[in-house]
Amino acid sequence: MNFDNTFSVILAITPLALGIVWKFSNGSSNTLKSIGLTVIGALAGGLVYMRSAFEIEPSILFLASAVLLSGFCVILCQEDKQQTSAIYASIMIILGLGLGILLNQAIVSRIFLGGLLGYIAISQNREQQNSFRTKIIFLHITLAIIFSLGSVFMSNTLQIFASLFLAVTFLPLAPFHLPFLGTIKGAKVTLASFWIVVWLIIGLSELNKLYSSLSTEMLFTLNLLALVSALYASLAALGQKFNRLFIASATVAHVALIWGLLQVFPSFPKWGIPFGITLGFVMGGISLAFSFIRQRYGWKTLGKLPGLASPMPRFGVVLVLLVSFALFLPLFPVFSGLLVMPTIAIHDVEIVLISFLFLVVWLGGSWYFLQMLHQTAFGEARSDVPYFDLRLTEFVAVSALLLGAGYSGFIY
Amino acid sequence: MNTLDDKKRVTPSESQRIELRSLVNLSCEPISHFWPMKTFIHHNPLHGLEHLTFEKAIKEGQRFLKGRGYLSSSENRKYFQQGRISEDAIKEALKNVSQNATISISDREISHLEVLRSILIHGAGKVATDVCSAILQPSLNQPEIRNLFKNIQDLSKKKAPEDFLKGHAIREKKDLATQYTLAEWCDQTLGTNVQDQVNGEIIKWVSGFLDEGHAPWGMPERKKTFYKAWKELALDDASGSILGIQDWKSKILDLPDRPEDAVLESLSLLAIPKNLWDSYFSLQLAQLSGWTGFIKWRSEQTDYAWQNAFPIDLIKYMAIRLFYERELVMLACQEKLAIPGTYVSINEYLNNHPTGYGLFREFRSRVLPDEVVDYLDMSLFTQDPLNIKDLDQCDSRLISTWEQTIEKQEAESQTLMVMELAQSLNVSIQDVVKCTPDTLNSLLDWIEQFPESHHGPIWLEALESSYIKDFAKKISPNLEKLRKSDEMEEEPLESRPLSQSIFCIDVRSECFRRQLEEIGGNETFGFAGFFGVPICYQGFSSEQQTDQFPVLLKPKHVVKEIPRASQGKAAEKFLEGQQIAKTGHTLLHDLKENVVTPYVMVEAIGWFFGFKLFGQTLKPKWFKKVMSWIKDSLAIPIRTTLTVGKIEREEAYEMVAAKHRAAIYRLFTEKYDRQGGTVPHDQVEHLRKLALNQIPSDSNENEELFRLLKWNASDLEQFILALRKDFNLHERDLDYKIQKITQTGFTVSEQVNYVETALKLLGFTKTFARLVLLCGHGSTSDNNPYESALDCGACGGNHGISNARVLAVMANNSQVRQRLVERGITIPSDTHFLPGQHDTVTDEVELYDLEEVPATHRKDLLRLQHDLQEACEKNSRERLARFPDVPAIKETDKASPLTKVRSMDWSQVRPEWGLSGHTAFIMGRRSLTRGINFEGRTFLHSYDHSQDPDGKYLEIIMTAPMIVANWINMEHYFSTVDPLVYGAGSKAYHNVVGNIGVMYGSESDLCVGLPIQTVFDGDKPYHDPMRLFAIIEAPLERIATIVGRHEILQRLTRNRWINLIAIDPDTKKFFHFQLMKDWQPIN
Repeated sequence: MNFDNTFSVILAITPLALGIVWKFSNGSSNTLKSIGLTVIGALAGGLVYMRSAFEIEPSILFLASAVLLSGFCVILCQEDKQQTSAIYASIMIILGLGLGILLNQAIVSRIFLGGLLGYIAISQNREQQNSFRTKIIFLHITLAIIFSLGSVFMSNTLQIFASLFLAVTFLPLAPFHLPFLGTIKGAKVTLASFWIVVWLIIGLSELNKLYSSLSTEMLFTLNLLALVSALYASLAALGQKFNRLFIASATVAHVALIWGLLQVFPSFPKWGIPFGITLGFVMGGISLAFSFIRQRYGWKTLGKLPGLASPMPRFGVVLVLLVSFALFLPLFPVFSGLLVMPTIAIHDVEIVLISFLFLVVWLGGSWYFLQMLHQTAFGEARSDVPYFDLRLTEFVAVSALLLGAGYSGFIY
Repeated sequence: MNTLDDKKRVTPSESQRIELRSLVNLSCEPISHFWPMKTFIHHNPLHGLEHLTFEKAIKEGQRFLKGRGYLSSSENRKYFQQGRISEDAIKEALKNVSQNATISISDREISHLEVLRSILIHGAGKVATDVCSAILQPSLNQPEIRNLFKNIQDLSKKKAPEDFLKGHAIREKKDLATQYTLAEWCDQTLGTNVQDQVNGEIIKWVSGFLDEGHAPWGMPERKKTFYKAWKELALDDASGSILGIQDWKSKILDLPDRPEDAVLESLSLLAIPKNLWDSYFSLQLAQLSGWTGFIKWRSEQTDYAWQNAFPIDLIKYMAIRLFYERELVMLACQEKLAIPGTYVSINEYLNNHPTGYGLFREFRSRVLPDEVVDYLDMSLFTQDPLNIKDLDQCDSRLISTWEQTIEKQEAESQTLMVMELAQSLNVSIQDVVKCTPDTLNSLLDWIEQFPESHHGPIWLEALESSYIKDFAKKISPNLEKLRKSDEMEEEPLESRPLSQSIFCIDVRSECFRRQLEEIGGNETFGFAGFFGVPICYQGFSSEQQTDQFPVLLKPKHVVKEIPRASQGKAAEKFLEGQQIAKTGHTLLHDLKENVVTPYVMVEAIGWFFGFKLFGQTLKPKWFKKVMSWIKDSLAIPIRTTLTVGKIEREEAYEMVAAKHRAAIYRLFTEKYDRQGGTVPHDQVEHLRKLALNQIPSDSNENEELFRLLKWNASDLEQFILALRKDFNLHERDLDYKIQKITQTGFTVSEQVNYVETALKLLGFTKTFARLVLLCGHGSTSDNNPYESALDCGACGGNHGISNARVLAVMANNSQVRQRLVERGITIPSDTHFLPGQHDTVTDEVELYDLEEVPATHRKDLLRLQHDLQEACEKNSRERLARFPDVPAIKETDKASPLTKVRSMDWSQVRPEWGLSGHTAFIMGRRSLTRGINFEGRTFLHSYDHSQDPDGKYLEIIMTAPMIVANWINMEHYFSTVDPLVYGAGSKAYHNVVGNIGVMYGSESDLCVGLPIQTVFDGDKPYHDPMRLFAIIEAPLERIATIVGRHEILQRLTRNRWINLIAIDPDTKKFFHFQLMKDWQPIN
């Protein structure tokens, strides 16, 4: 193992170890917050160092930075409470495992991936009921762990399928989206936001490694699956009452666009990664904003707490900005892709499929996002609820994600 | 099919129909009249409930109209923090509701009053149960709060458990058809949209039917009455079928021809019990209270042209409304519950499935606890129709868990309230935890028994009490002066002021009067803006008459504006110009509104409107000038006078006869040229009488005509026919014209009476100045459907100048003055009454009939004009400071141009504050209020009790202007406390509909009340919602006697719709009229 490999492992191990220690200790919230933020600052420094010293691939660096930013935001906005130490620990563990997957290669990366999947399974076990859906999720995760660890020893073809399985799990396409939905649903308050970003980034990293190996037939099949997934997820988001599942469904619907557009645009890192990160930040931002409301009022159901923009202007502003951003999300990969890169020659059927997919994601998104906005930010606020607007740190955290989405979507 | 079989249908008897009709009319009691917008009448939106106490009426308003009756507690708390509500006033107001009880926490005794005060001032901290868990959670780390929560939980466990699931069905059975309609029940329970659907359909039909010339295409068949027109047109309306009503056409065809029968049929199909009909009708009528208020008003106007042409009443409205409701409720109940949509079947459903229904209601109204969500099959709640049997058989353990969760939430909510209360009482939580369960129980009961909904009356009482005490303090220096001057035995030296002005009692006159007086030498009086002269006024060239008097009065006299004698030619020219302008306007309107022409018009002359658009937006002042110049050059304004004098019948006959003779000459010259002109007068008179059948057609005197004109009998007959046909020369026309002429104006005796009453009412019977200004008022603004609300209310929402001109003519009449001397009023011969009008937006006072001012008064006039201009500038400056959108004006800058721009700006939603902010109506001598800055918030009526020993004039004031002021006050009060239900919401969304009112967007109820911009400054109320303080400087006994004589006054005072305050002229102390003859001193 050379130095750059060792350095990237150290970068991953540091927060992981810290997280495990915090899991079993009970430090004060302020101390943990300060340490957490310092560690993230140090990790960011490490990434800068890696970039200058080891000529690391820019797309990987970009993905890792996105994970760091998301982690930073989630830690920053934690309230000063004693129970939050468990959340700090989880953030650090996920951060460490995520960085391990992104910054390392081959077996080391797969071990971290296996670890992350294991952590997801443990979290699921704690949160979920013993239903049929949960059993499917466990089966799915078990398969994913097997594929992640076994793929190193598999043949090329099997390796592609194993990677594809992992990619559709982390860049979730129906019917492979259940672990994603389960994780987001069961995550502790603000963690859902971090999970969305990490989950998508791992998926993007997986697809980044994989996209050049995908055959035309596979792309067509994926395109078809993406359309079905987009349709299903859009309808699910439209009828969804629970805010977490709403965001998760909306994320799945938008992720379908990445899979569909693979058939049109050749250079995935150029458009797919920025779009995926933008998507992660926007959805993570909405989720984070929602989690503040959940922390305050135990709010879970859309429509039960309307008119928040008036008594909570900061929340109203960030939510309106995030939703406005989300409304135009499908336009970013399509139009920016068309502008900056050549397209692959595709057939009529595929054009119809992609156009349809684009319309489903865009129009569906416009519909359910606006509906959600009307159920949340607008309308008459309830008079029997005492309102407390976002604190400065909360506002900064969501704004940072929004700025990150802006950078990734417009500039990068 | 939802219809009655022919066999079942029984035709109601006429007496049943009459009974039903009166029941519907009676049920409309909670809904007040809605006057058409062009004559905006301020009124109490709960006028029909004035027989109830203020508090009870508010509860009824809440029940039927869903309106809030008091300012929110948060606003009241702000008033308290600002010191506008005093601590003493709060304690005083709470005395009526507090018990003589205390609880002991630690070593401190806390009274019930103290607890109530804390809750009132700081709030009870009541939080919705579905969020309290999350709110309390962080605090549970603290052991004392954890213990408190545990104590409260233990207490609630000891209480008898409530069957919270079955409670829904029990409550709703009681409330159905008494608190809400079946359609509302469907919407609340089943999540349907029946109410909106019914309202949408009703608005569509009603707005079309009630249109008064606004729509380019009128609704057809309107002459057949509302119900019949609807029945005919609805056959071709697809919306019924689109809404899902099956067999739409046949159902319409099957409806009875009489609306009463249709109402009875619908009630029978909805199975509403007869004892609930009245409340059910009220609930139905309250759904669109603006429209029903207008229908109520219109149906009572027997001489209203639109009503006579297109009859509508409440029963017709009810017939259509109930038809839609019965069909749509049936549809919703069938689809969602698989039961018929009737009162009986819904009741049975609630009876038979209380548990399942309770579960369903909980699901719809609350956030379900996780324990339930994870174990219950949620699809049970979303099936259509609802599988109630499965819900009924829901696992009992689950229900028990659910109940425990609800109990826990209740305890959490109570814990939060106790925490809040402990903080506001300055008691530590540890002490509360240590107190006995009984103490904690009492504390919780006290909190429970004083919910936020009970705070409104207390706050109002406290606000009013604080206000009147401040007011008393404010005018105490004047009272002191008054006491001294009243005690002086010698009469002060009489000195004539430079001018005297009589303004309207309006609050906007208060500041102008103050400014004018402060300039020096000017004395002012306040009088209802119609100056006591109720007239129907017809402006020159106008085809319509306006009612220039308060709605309480009946018109007695018609006054017309006519050109002065010297303006004959100019008047003709003016009329021609007006005709051209009118034709152009009509043409443009038709081109704009036609179906085809707008497409061409936009291309051809659309650009022309760009001038208007940019001019009015960017340079409103400049644009207005150009438009006035164009208007004036088309029709040069002429000098006019009014037909104040009454013409005797003989004179009127002669006037008409002269007109007839001129017509005969005209026909002669048309037919026989010069020869016609030479016909002698006696033959012309003969012809006139022939035409009027005053002499027989075969008269011998015809021979002379035959000879002169070489006519035969047939020529004469044709000529007479032509006279009758072309010149209306017949008996009927003669009578009509005489009647028209003689009904205008006043006899001298009437004039004397009006002038005497006006002057004595004001206590203005001596020391007349050389110039007396009678100043009416009006308002000018652009693009403002509420313009008439800013005009003079006493003049029926019109400009008041015509009344001022009439009284001035009367008071200047030498005959009138001679007769006034006999009645003890001597107006010096050099006193001239001059009419004028105060523009309440620009503050300019325009003087009228200046040609009548004697040349000797030239300098007096100039001085008055100068003083008025100075007052205008000062008043504009004072008023502008109250507008939130106007930056501070420098000393060197002029204020009046800014007010002028406000009057022309078509984007200005608040050209002036109008009557907003008013608090009191003061009836007394000017010396009581002179020099005090009331900030344009008081009505000032001049009244001198010493000149009215028998209270005759006070009675007039109390039964007319004071009542109108109360209506104004109530309209402002309710528009402030609930701007959406009792007010008109934001002006920004208003659309004029049918020339009768405004709607929100394209489809809503008619907006009643005042727009939010009138009563709110941003998000805080500008108007202080208090009941009017009618403050009278007069002996207490006299006031009480007058109140005792008038039922309306007793109703208003006894039921606390108005605060009647007396200033005792002897002691100069304030007294509050509580109940009959019970005067409470105000300290």
